[in-house]
Amino acid sequence: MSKKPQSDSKPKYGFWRETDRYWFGWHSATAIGIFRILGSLCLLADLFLLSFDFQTWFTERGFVPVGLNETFSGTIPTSFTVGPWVVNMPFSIPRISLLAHVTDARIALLFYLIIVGAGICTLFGWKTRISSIILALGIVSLQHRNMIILHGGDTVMRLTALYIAIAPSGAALSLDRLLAVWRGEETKEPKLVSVWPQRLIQYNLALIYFTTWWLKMDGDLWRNGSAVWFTSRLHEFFRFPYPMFIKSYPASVVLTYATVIIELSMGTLVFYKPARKYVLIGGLLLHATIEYTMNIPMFSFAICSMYVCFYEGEEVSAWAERIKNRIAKLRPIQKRSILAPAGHQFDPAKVAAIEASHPFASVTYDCGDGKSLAVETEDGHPAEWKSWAAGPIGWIPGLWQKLSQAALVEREAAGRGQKNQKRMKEESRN
Amino acid sequence: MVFQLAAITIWSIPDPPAKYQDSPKSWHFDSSSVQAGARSLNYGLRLFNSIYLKSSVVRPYLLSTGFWQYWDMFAPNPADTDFWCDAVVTYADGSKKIYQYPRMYKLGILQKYEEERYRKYYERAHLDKYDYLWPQFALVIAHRMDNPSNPPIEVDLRRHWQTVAPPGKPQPTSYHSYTYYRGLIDQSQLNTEREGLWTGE
Repeated sequence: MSKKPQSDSKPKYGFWRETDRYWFGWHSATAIGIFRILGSLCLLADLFLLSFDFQTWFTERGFVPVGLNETFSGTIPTSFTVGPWVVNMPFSIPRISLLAHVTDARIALLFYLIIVGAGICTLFGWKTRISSIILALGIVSLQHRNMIILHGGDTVMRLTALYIAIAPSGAALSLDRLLAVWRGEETKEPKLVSVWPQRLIQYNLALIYFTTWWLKMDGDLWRNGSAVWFTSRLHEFFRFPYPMFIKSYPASVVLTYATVIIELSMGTLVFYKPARKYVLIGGLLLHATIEYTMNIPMFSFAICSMYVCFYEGEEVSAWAERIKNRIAKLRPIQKRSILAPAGHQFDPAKVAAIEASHPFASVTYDCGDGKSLAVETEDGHPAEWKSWAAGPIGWIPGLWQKLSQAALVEREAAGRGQKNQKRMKEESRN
Repeated sequence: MVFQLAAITIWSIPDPPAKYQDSPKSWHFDSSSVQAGARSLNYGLRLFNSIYLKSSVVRPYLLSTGFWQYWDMFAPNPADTDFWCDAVVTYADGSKKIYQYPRMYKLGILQKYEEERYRKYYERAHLDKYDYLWPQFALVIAHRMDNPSNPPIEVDLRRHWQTVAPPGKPQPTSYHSYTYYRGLIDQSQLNTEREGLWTGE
């Protein structure tokens, strides 16, 4: 794979070809993998918060029984236009809601628990395609079940769930990926995926900011700089205390104009690479301020989780490498050698999977001549199966050793495995 | 892909100001100045989108799938009214108690996270156009304040509000109050509320 991110290469083709490459080109799935993790965390946190008042919001004994929700949400009109023609359908297309007409609280609760299970599977990237689809269906159904309590953050989370389901979310940073490498079905090089779902997320995120800025420009309070004066005095939105000067008129003006400038930038300038980092930092500051001062749970976290999609997977990996190098300078990396016992060696595919979980590439797997599996420091001294630099498997007692043990093969079988790995690499290059 | 991009764009484009929605034929291109022309084009585009594009096939697609979205948080202007709710519960023996609907201002930080949905619900539920929600609202409050030996017979919903004064004007120190709904509690419905929710209905 080229060391340079594909998007940095100068355009060599015509406009349409470049447009096609931009929307449907192939990039590392790392960014989408991170989006899946962050998005799932937000969805699970929101589901957790809903659990406290589940009876109040999703059962017939609460404020919004099924019938009242149906009155509030209304039916989708049966007619729509297609160009100059009007199409009248004999029925109304229903909103996707597996909880429609469900009045039994036990079924609603079971449904909720299934969504939570799907959310956990999606977070860890296990059976990602099916779990993310169940999660998306579940979130959409839950929101359509009670539309009265929805806020902007719910819309962001619903879109997050839908985009996680559409995108190849399990192609990176997932158990699915780790297991595929372990089984020798994939190599450890980052998997390349078509980038169109990521472009869709970028576009939708920019659309959010641009359209909210557009609507705010109708409001005289945003144009004259006094909008934040009013929001800072709505007691029902108060969260953490902040200094009184923040509520002063001059500060309100600064915050009001900063908000509209950041929103307009997030809708437009964010696509201009030299400005992208600064625009996203502005967005993070905006949402950090909102999260601190205003009680709108999960909104800021959910929308900021989408920011990673503005970077290609290769850029994210390069950034992670720079962070790792800085950490390595601050704290020495404990290098380890794992030695196979005599007559054995490590299956290349399984070792590739284990190595994928070592963030600092600080562990080597070699043949040894001892009676059993051994771990040594780089000086050749015996060491423990514990190392912060080995990643999560180095922190969980016994896991690293068990995985290394499982990766052992007798030397004859290892020869066949290596041939398979070589053949797979050649096939993927072609 | 193109359809998805077009659909979410069409749905997200802000609706024109109310005066054009109520009377679309009142729109015209204003060429008196560059600024006026730009404004009239802005509203004209949004009016066209609202009338002709939002009513297209994108509507059933977005509303059914869950891709619908409209970004009007604190827009066009943020709310300038702070409000909260409580209820006066009258019991069979004539005694009264106050039910305090969760008021975010008075809650601790963790409770604010947990119970923010109450604020959002009331933000809509207190509006006159959603008065069909009030009887159920009152019934649930009656159940929460229930005493089987002395059951609640009436729940009066009260809204309390305070309007934020503009900069330079003195801020109000108290809330206005108004009882906007008097709900007689149907005792048979209250009996149903008392039944075990998780043992089947």
